[in-house]
Amino acid sequence: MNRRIVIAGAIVAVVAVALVLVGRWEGRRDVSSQRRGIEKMRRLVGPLDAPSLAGFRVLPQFDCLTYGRSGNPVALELCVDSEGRVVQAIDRRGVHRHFWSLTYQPSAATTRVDRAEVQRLIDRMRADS
Amino acid sequence: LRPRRFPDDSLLPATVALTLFVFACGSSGVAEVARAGRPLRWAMLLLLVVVAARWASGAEQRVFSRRVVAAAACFVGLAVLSAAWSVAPRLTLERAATLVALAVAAVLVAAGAQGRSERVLAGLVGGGVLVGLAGLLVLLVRHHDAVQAATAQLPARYQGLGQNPDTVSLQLALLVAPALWLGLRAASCGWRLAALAALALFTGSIVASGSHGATAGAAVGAAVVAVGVARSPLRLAALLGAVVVSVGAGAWIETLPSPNPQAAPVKAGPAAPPSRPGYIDAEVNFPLGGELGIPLPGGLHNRQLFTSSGRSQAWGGAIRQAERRPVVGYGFGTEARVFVDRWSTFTSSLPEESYIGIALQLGAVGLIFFLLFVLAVFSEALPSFRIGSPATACAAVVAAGLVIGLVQSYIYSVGNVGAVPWWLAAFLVPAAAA
Repeated sequence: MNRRIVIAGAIVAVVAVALVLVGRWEGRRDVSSQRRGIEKMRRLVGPLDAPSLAGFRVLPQFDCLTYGRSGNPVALELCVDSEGRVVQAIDRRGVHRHFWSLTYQPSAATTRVDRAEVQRLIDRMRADS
Repeated sequence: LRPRRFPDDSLLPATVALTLFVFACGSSGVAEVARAGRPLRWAMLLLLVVVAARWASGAEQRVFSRRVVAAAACFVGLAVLSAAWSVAPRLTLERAATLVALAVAAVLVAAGAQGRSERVLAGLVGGGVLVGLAGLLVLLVRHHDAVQAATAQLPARYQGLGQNPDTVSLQLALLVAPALWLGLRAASCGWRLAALAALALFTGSIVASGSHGATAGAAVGAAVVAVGVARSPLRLAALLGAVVVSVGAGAWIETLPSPNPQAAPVKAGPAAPPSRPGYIDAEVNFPLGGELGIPLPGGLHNRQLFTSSGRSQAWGGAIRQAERRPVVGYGFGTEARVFVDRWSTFTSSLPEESYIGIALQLGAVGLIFFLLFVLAVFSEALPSFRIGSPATACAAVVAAGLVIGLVQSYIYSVGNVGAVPWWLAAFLVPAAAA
């Protein structure tokens, strides 16, 4: 009986460790894929105050800047949290929209911009500023 | 149903009833009630664990189904373990702790339920009656809180005590089966009438809510009870016919209320300051929470019997997101954090599909563990099936809950009004069948 309990316990422990390893690997893979997408969009935008800057979005969790391409004023979008981390990027250039997002885990976002500059650009675009 | 050992035989059913009521208060549309109910429900869950421990210790024979408990332990254990890879470890641990508490309470209730499982069913139905009557009280004194007003697209819908029309109707849909079972099986005429009155209260509230998922779930639960209590093919046909006619009548009644074309549009928050010429406020023109699936100009979204509320598009998005972490998901309890509603035809912070919700949180492994638990429950019920057994009513609650799970995210969310009755009934199946 004791031997069976030990074996069962060992199997449970091995499965638990395997699940943790798989879970962490999946998480790293997902985060790195989102990071790559966000970084690609950041490079596509170029300087934050590029002439293609066409709009903004102010939300409680983050603020966004949109950039025009081919007459579409929201073709590219970067969303920045209060610490300057780019937590979401959207590509609306084609028929299908592509979203890269780390809004559920902002601490994993590695692409950063100057938060003060983002605020300055938003203020420039808002009529009440 | 008369208690043999007072107060033990009455205390547990009363606590179950009160727990259901307090959980419904925590999800109430009446702000003051919700404020009091939200923290109180966790105290109530702990009280249920304590009372269930006393109930189990006082049982003449304790019943544990190893298969059911082992399968549940796999699912609950995975929920706890997922804190190790969760996108929000603390949130995962908190949510998993509530699931552990509910599972412990359900195991203890089931352990002491042999020969008195109908008392637990009476407690569940009693809780539903409290919730249903409280809804009618809200309708009398705070009509605007009990009825979701008609809009240009949607008719008025009854929500009673709930925060929206789908809240309380979910709980009552789960309780239709035990109310029907008690109505058909109770020994005394008084209990039978009381159970049928409860059934009328539940079905009336569900139909008035216009909740299609709750109607379907209640119908499945009632059909399982019909199959489980009918002693002859003729009686089975009569009972199933009654279920079909009731569902048809309910569905027809749900189509009667009309939208109000004159309804004022829903007020948004304070108007955003205008942008300077040459720039746009993207949130005004392309709101992030609804940029996908905006209807074409002139196309109104009128709700018909088979109209989806945009769920299918949101489900597609949630499935694509779950595919990014397919094996073990984002971590238990993180569904609302990781799911982003980007669809104009869908309004919820959750995908409103329990199985997609499990896949998002715990991946394919979580989904498999959950299905193993359900299989374990039914594998206990079927071999020892007896006509009229209370196990039928418990299995009916589980079946109804699985159907509702197709259109609502709730089974694993302990704070939801439907989780407590579903888990209690699931663990009760083996004890009631024994």
